[in-house]
Amino acid sequence: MTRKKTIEKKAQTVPSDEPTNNEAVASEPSSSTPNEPEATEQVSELVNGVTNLSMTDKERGEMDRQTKSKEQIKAEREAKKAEKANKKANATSKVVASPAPQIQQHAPQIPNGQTLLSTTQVSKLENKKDVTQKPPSPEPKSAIKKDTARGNREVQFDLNTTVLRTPSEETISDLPKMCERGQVADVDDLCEEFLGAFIKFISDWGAERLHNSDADPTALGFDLDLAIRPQLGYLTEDGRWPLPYALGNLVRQLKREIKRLDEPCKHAHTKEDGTVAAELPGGCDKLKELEEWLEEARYSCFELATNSISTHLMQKRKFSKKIVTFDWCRVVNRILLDSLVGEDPDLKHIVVLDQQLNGRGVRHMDTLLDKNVKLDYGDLRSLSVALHKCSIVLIGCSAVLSNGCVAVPKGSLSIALSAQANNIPFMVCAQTFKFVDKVQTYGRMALLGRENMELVPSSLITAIVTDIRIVPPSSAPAILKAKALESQN
Amino acid sequence: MFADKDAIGSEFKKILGSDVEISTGLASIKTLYNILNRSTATTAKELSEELRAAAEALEETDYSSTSIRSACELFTRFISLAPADLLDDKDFTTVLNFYRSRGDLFIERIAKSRTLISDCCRPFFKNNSNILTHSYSKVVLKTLLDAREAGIWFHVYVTESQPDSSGRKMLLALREKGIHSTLVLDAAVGYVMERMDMCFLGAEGVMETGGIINKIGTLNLAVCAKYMNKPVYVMAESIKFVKEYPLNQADIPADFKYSSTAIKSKDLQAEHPQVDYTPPQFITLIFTDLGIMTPAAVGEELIKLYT
Repeated sequence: MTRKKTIEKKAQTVPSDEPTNNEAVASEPSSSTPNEPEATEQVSELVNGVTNLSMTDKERGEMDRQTKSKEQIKAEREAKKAEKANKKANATSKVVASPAPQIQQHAPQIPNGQTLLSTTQVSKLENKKDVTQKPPSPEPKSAIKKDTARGNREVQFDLNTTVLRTPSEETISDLPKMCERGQVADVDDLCEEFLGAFIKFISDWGAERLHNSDADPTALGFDLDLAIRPQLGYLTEDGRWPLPYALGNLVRQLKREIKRLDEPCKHAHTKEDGTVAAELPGGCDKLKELEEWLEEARYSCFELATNSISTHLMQKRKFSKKIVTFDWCRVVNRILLDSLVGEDPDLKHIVVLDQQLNGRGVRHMDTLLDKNVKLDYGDLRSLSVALHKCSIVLIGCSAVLSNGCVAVPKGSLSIALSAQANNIPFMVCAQTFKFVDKVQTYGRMALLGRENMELVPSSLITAIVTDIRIVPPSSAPAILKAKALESQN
Repeated sequence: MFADKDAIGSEFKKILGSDVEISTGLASIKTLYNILNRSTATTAKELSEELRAAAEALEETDYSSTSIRSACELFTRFISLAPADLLDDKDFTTVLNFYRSRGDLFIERIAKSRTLISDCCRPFFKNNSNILTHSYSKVVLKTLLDAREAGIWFHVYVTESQPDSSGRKMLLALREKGIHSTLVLDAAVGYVMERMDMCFLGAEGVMETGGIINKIGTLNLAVCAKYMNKPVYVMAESIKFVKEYPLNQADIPADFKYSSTAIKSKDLQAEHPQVDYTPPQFITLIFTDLGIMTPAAVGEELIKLYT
């Protein structure tokens, strides 16, 4: 009798709470959970064939529902999870939204029942979603197959781009625009463009000076220094935005060379009457020397330095089976390409990480996709997977401070910490022109999107690979001394 | 013409055998010096090729390749630091004589290096202290003997240092001179570390990182000492500074880890390494004939030596 009463009670309550939507359906299992032991007893009795209950069809339907509650609960939980995952993916991801069929794939398998959504209601819901959702954009050209099971983590590659730079004919004042347009990706490109622009500036300025008969040949350096100040002032907005460290280094060395232009000319000779023969009007010889110095600097700081760095790291080639890198650095790209030369290179696996998907690290992928190497791309969320069985972490930098700290793109610090925790060597590539005699970063920086850099402490860095040799971070002052001695000579 | 490799190898072994106290590095330098004296080269390039071939022959002996390579390279660099006008001299015998005189100076300086290291280390000894050392190192032995002669009392614990039990040799040498010493198992380093006051280590090579390559088991000792805040002092002559930058144990060059016989004949997968690499963070100070330096300063010294 008691059993009858409890079942009747349940049968009575359910119609009053007849659900008309999914939420009510969802609440049903939770209300039944405190009475679960009783419910299971009732269910078992029902299963055993207790048929002497007088129930209406509705009530019988409710009983069927209770017997199926576990399956239903499972299906509803899966449906909720899928909905949450879809919402998250749509909200956070910047890639193409998943097309409509995926929703159907993840749609919960709601059993047909009176109190449940009918197929028409489900389709109405889906139609509503279709309406509220943006129409799927056309499928982009991608080298990676869409992973429909996971959803919408898709990265756009363009295999037709190359990272080979051809020197441009831009002027110094065009540099900020080039940075904004994305033509200048990093500090290396910026410094190279600056040197190229300055060479062009000197040749134009020299030509103008040649035609100016009032120009004092002994004040060549002074006049050039005056001429370049507005250019540099434009880049820094009259000192409000300091130049990036490495570029600041180059500018300082350049100013030193410009000062030397006013030193007595080595090629001057005394005439028969005892007077010193003047050099060519406008000091064209000295300007040519300066241009040659700039060309040599451009070659030695970039092409030659990159070759040297790559050669130094070739010694570590046998040990490096898997390399992880972060963001874009053309020196690192060159090292990776050189490591893949040959039929059976030692390097088997490269992982490129980015701050967020479709970041600058994609440029690595564009050059490496057609090489015989396993290539992975991801953002910082896949750091733990990336560092699994990793040989070395190799990144570029924009500057090396004199206390051994390194200015790197944001996100590199977390990689350095993880590498240290996993006992993986963390190596930084830096040409010697990036070594600066500073111990602190600026809060702000001109050009390159005015993006501030992150500092990685020297204790997290295993080695800095320079064009001179591989050095520990503590040897940064020694490198500065060596470079200072070089420039004096 | 270049001398035969076997002849160079046997000359090297003869020099080592003639003086028990001589180090591998100094013996290799003396071998190169003898080759320099006998050389009939007529150009600087020919001479440097001859010395390079001799150094390769020495590395093929089963002695410490680390010490041999660093000593030979530094010797070659030192003797060839000649004024530019001398190098332009058409008569190469003048240049050769200059190189020989530089070689004499180098050997004279290196012969004093152990004494200099011992003098640098003396202030770090404390009376009634316990010192832990690893394997058999002639530099460490000389330092300990000199300190004992100066009247400082201490007890030395020496690790057995398998597989060749070279620690027993160290124990015998210490006991001969009346120094109280105890042999400990390699596995007992963690057990005894708490009662130690400091650890003294030799080195087969000092790397660019500031770390050292030494007999296998050194890393275990250094890690224990670091954990228990015991200072680790390394003694090494400046000829042991090597132009290598190991990132970890796997990155040690194979010719440092294994004997040349093993490299030629056996499968290295089954071969135990003879040395290990101790990173700089586990080393407190390095005593050299150039002075006392931190591991960080080694990189700077190497830049000075090689640029």
